[in-house]
Amino acid sequence: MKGRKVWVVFLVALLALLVAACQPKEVVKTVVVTKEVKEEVVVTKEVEVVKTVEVEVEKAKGACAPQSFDELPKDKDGNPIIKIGVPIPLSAPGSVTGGQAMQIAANIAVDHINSKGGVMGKYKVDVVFYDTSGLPERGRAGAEYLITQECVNAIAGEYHSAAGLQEKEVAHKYGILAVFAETWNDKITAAQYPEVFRIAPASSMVAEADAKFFKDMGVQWVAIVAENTDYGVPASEATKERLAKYGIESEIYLAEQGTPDFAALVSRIVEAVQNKEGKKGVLVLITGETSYNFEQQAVDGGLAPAEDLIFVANQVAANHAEFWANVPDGNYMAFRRVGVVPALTADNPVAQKFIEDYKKATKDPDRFPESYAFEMYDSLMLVVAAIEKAQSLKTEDLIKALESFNSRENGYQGAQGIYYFLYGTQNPVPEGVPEWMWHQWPDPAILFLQYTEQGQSVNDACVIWPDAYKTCDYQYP
Amino acid sequence: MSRNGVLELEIRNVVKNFGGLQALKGVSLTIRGSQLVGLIGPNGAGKTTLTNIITGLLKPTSGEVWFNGERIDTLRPYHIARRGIGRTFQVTRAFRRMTVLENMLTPGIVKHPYMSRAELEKKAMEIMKFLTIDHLRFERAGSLSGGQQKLLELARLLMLDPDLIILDEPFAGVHPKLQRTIYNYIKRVREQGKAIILISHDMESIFTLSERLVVLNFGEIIADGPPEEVKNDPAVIEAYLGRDEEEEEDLRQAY
Amino acid sequence: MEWLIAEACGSFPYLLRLILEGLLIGVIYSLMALGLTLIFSVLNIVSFSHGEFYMIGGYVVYTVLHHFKQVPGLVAVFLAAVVTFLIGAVFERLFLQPMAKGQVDRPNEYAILVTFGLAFVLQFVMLGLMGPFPKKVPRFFSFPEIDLGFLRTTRTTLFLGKIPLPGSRIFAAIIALIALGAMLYFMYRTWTGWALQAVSQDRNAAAVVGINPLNMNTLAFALGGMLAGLAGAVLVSVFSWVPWVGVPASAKSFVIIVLGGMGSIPGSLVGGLILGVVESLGTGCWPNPATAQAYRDVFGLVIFALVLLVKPTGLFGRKL
Repeated sequence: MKGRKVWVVFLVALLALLVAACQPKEVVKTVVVTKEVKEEVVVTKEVEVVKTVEVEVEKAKGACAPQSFDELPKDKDGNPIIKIGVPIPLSAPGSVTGGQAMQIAANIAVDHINSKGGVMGKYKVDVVFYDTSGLPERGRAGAEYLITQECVNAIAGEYHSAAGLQEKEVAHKYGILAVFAETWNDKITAAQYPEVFRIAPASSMVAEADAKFFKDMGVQWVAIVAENTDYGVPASEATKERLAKYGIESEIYLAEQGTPDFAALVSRIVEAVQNKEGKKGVLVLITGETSYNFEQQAVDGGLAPAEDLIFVANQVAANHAEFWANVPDGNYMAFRRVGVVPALTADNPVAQKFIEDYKKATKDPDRFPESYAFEMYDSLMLVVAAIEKAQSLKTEDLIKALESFNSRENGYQGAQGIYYFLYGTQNPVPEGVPEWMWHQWPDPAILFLQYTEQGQSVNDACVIWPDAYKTCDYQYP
Repeated sequence: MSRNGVLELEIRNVVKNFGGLQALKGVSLTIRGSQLVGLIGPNGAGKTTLTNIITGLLKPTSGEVWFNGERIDTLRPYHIARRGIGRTFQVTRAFRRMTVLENMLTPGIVKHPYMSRAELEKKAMEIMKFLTIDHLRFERAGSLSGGQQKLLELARLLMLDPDLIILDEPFAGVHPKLQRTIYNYIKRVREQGKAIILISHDMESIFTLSERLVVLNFGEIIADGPPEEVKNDPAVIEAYLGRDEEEEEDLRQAY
Repeated sequence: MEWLIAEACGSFPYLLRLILEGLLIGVIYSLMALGLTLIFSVLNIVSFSHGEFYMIGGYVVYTVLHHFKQVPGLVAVFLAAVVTFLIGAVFERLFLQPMAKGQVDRPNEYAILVTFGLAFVLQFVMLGLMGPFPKKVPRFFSFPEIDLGFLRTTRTTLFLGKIPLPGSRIFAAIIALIALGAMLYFMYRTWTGWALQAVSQDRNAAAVVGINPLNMNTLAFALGGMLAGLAGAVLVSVFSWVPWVGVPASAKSFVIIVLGGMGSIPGSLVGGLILGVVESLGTGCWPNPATAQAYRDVFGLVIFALVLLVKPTGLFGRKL
């Protein structure tokens, strides 16, 4: 009896293997289409007939996005809806704080769009969320699911580069528009896929700002503490490079996401810092909740902001309620903030409406939206703007529409600023300009703020850099 | 305590199967009042199995065990121990990592939860002195010799004030000097009015000490009576005592 | 020697600092590992839900202090111990007793599955109750400010010479030491402790001298869970707390009990201290600063593997 069971299992396994092996592989084929030019030619002299060869890359089958407005699916009331996929982290090891903020912002965007009757006043928008947990495999699975099962016309969002790097591949494979909200890794746009746009800064842009900040503050040595991920490793290396350009030495310390205990690392940095002359800096490139552990333990271990040490906490410090709860001794820490602060949105009605609704939705009248919340909102708005400008759902038309926003004067007014893209399919990235400038918004605000009072709200925190936006000087404890 | 003050152990037609093997084929035995019963039989006869069933470590496949008017084969071992049945094991099972004194005191609380530690220690010391292990009381049980551990096991079970004691091979592998101590122990316990079931291959001790001899063979009782009678029982001789003759016969045939 | 250890490790104060930090956290590792070893030695199972008791201990303290700010920290810690003890006892009675009574076909696999199941249930119940955002408890005590030259304190930190030791960790370690001491006293000097030891050393022999192994099972599991809960209760003022905070703690406990010898109480104590110090020294002295922190867990595992190569039953393990 037992022998028979073993045979059955073996046969089933063999069958499964055979079936798996015989799956048709998805191949992106290059099909050369020759356009024949028929023309009546009166031959008076020999003329070279130029054959036009258009190379079309055949996109993988499987995407089911409706190509025209008539094909749109209908909701339960019979109204046609446009589906947009939103991959975000809603569970560990991704940053739940980030994902949740983005989810709220996305829902606000949908409300704003649909309250006006929808896209072009006719088509309501429906957003489909997917929890990618910041993991590459889940990013890939999520994009596949959204494109081939939910039949979305576009993807907008994502917080973690690890997932985003995979999502861009899938979007490109199927030829679906992807507007990335908060993924910084250079490669997102450096791959120069026609479908991929980004409104967050590229890591290199941020690294440049970080380096300039330390230079302007007169720092001579920086401890870069980064997460060991697709974001942290390249970001720390880019920052080190740029610091070196300004003559500032630095040391990179990597840590795993989810680490609780940083005591030994703090001791190590303290030891390293002790023997250095001049001003020192600490830059925290660990995102999410893990950064709180490091920051509080840094203070516990004697690596606090001091007269000769500028401590730059991770950008999640902008979530002031959570920051002060988890880093109670975090006073005098600076933090980088990508995106706008209240002062910069005062004259922007789009921003004002979003900020108001965000505060309502988070039930916190003091909670100015984080940069990733703004980006999520704007990325959805951009997708809708592209559909409205193109009057079409086809990806190539959407790409052209977005590329038509090609300067500040010609840009799209979002909540964070005026979006435009300098380089793309119509205008390739020239020599000397970084590859990641393809479909990259050039103007995200990269600011440095500082908490100067225990329990301070992020709205009251001073902008200490750059000069253009400064509201007060850096304060030494 | 026993009903009417008289101890009574009744084993009613106990059968024990282990898969296809029938270890006990319907054993019935009654012990009334304090007696020293010798339980003998060849290896594999079922003596230890029967002991395990009486003390609750095994459950009979069928049949019942009654002690002092209460059915005990359905009870857990510690219940049975608390009702006054103590036993030792063939391979000693002292608590190796505890000291001798701790080994003694641990069962003490079970039986005498309200006795003070000092009183319990006094009782323990008395027993240990009699078994000549009192000088070892702070030693780890695991560091004692095999024979000393056996003595410890014997001492330990007395802390429970059992009415019925089952001793499984108490003399096996023990130095002759210690054997003497064990022999005296058995006699003294008997004098205290307890009932004892003694399992042993040491024929001399068995015949000297037992008031009644029960012979087990292949899971069945083949003899039960005073030692003199049983010794001369032909069935017993053939099965157990007379094996040498059989071998002699075979050898003769081989020539 | 720079290729082997970081330059800074030539300095004695630095080494001392790393060792002290390692011991401070090691004491708490030991406490938690003691719980796991107790469960293993009495019930003969490995509890895969150990980390979740740690997590709940922390959350109980957080919840109590969050809603009743006047309550002293120690009272909250005590409550955490009570809650985790009760959860352990109830779970053992409901789900592990059938295994002990022989009512389950494959007891070892059953125990693994059932404790795994408990781990998931606890994690997700707490996720639902507490949410995924990190919580923190402010430190229990502030130091009085004293200055004795060599030894001085600020509100938050104790300075031994130039070595800063965070107050929150010192208090955590002190409470853990007290708990350890109480536990050891209980195990070695009380009746019930002896009964537990007896059952862990020889289950059947304990039964035939009248000790109820089933009750001892419940007690051991409840105590084991309580010790993990205590570890969490004291660390919630040091680390930020999320529902999956027990997962790495659980993993460390496994490493410690195998390193120290499964079922051995001195083994878990020594093993915890060793792990704490090895992790600290490893991170502090690993020559490549980039990878030092990322490899923190690896250092402990390497020592673990080395010990097992030389002594497969662990440092204090019983002979096989």
